[in-house]
Amino acid sequence: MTKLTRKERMQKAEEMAGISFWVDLRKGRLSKYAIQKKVRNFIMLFFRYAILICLGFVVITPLWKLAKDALTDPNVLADKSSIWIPQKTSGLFLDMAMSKQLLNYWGSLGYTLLTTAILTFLQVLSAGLAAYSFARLKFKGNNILFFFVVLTIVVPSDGIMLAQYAAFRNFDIFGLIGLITGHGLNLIGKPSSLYILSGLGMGVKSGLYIYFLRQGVKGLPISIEEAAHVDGAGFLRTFFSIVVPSMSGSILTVSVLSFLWNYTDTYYKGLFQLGSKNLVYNYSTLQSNIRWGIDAAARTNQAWLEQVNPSSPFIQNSTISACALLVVLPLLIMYCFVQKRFVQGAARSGLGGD
Amino acid sequence: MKKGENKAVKKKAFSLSYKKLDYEKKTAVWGVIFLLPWLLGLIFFFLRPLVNTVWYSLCSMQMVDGKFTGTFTGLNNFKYALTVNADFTQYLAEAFLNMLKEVPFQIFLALFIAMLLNGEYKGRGFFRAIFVIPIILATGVATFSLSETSLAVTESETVMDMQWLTDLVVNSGIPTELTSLLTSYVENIFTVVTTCGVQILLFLSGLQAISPTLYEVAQMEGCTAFETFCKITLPMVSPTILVCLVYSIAESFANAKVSVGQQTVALSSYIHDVTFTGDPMYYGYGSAMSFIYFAATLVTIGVICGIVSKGVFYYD
Repeated sequence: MTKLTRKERMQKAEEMAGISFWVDLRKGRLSKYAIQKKVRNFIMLFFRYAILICLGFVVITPLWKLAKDALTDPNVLADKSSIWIPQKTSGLFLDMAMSKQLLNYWGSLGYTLLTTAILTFLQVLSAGLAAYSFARLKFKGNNILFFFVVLTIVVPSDGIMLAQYAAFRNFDIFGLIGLITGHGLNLIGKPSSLYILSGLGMGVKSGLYIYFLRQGVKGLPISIEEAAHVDGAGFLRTFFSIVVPSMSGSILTVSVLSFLWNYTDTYYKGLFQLGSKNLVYNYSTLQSNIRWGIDAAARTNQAWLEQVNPSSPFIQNSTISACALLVVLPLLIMYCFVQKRFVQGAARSGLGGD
Repeated sequence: MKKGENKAVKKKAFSLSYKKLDYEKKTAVWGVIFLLPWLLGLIFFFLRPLVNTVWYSLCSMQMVDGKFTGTFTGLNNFKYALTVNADFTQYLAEAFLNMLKEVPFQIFLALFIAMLLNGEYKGRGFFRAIFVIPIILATGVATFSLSETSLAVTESETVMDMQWLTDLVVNSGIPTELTSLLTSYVENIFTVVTTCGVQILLFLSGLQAISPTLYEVAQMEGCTAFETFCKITLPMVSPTILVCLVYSIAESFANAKVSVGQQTVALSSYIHDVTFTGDPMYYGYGSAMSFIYFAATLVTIGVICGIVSKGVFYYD
């Protein structure tokens, strides 16, 4: 047995205790390694914030300009000396944009949010079922059918719009409705046309959701589902009480995207003539006749009539900015609440042997 | 006699209850049931119209008494688009090269930003909320053009002056093809950030699905940050990379801009113009062009994703 010096023994004891790496016990201060790590963490944090703030600035600029135009007082609109913050703020343009003549905001917001929520639910449900089938429930021809999912992502919707219109103008299920009433149902102008389209997995960008959710399912360890089957759960039960909860992150992402795209979609609303009560559609048609809109709105209020000149490009710009801001705002508020629910997935933890 | 027996057996087999099916067959049955809604939608609202487009592309369309009638001409329209029209193939090649340049950078940047957004730090809710704005803005809700008069304010806004960097790289002696690519990336970084909102969101969700235990293990084993990225993060988000690739390539082709004469026009609107503003004769020709366009996109996605999917990691 070799005799160790006192210093060496000390070192060895510390190493065995596993603390000397971090704290130098004898001197009672942080060790070299701990300081190194602290410095490294600080630099990482600094760069993280630097990059995020820079990119965030780029991303937020258009929205900030929109808000600035919308909140400027009509009398100082032409003033170019203020770029970021208006010289004098006023809520006049917001009030005007909310009026019945322009957006009819409170009247149409509820309807728009409700229909969008229904569309989102149907779309996510159909996409989830299809995705699970593609990922796990293999049958012959499965892979060939999946090729069509990619096809639906690639083919733009204007290539097939006429036929879709015709299908809903004269809607029929295998000729059954025709047998009873003699002709198909006319679903144009009824929200059910879009519900059917979304429920059957052909809504706005459904293909992408199916693809994304399929990848999500494939990323789950199959052993949980097998265990569920062995324990006697049916396929539906396995899907709804095992797969859906463990993919809640992916499903939430898809729901957010689906809500966002369904809310802002004006193409299908125009095609199926669902626009009259829809906030976003009204907004999109407003752009071409903003002048008459401002004119009509200003006539209802003496104060607006005095301050607003419908033919001024500045006034028109600010009014549309206010409308755009009001249209975008519900989405932002909704996302702020939803993003808190993006939490670290726990599905794979607690699974030994995988 | 034997034949009759066989028939009886067959009938019996046919009327076997669902419960007696083996597991694989049950899986197949439920696979069809789960897929049924999508399948119906596919047949009625997607394939039927698509077949029409293919049929038109094989015809020469004519307007007779206010009705479209097609006379079958075989592959003439395709031949015309690919061999006679000098511009179209060139536009396709341009769109393809543009995609090759754009998409890898988009994916890289999106993954990078998603990783920055992902960790634990103060104000992360705020930053996450900010990075959903590009998705909203990309839908065109907040962009508008005034029809009557345009505002005479032409602000030439450059967020950053990158000229010094360009000069530095150009004079450094690296081949010019490489430097021009590099500087174009740096100059366009802000526009690229605004186009990859969806990819960021998808990556964020992919990163969140990674179990923290894996990182704990890596830390215990003494992995460096780079090793952790290569061995854990990259394989675990590889399925998401595949989705993002498909989406980015499809979007890049769909929004491809080509220079027609002096102007830059979207390729899709070029096809649209040929189809609808020309003679009805061109209707079939336009359909043929859009068909080639889809096919080119599909083949590109197929080839690229075929290669990438070899490296994708799945649990099963």
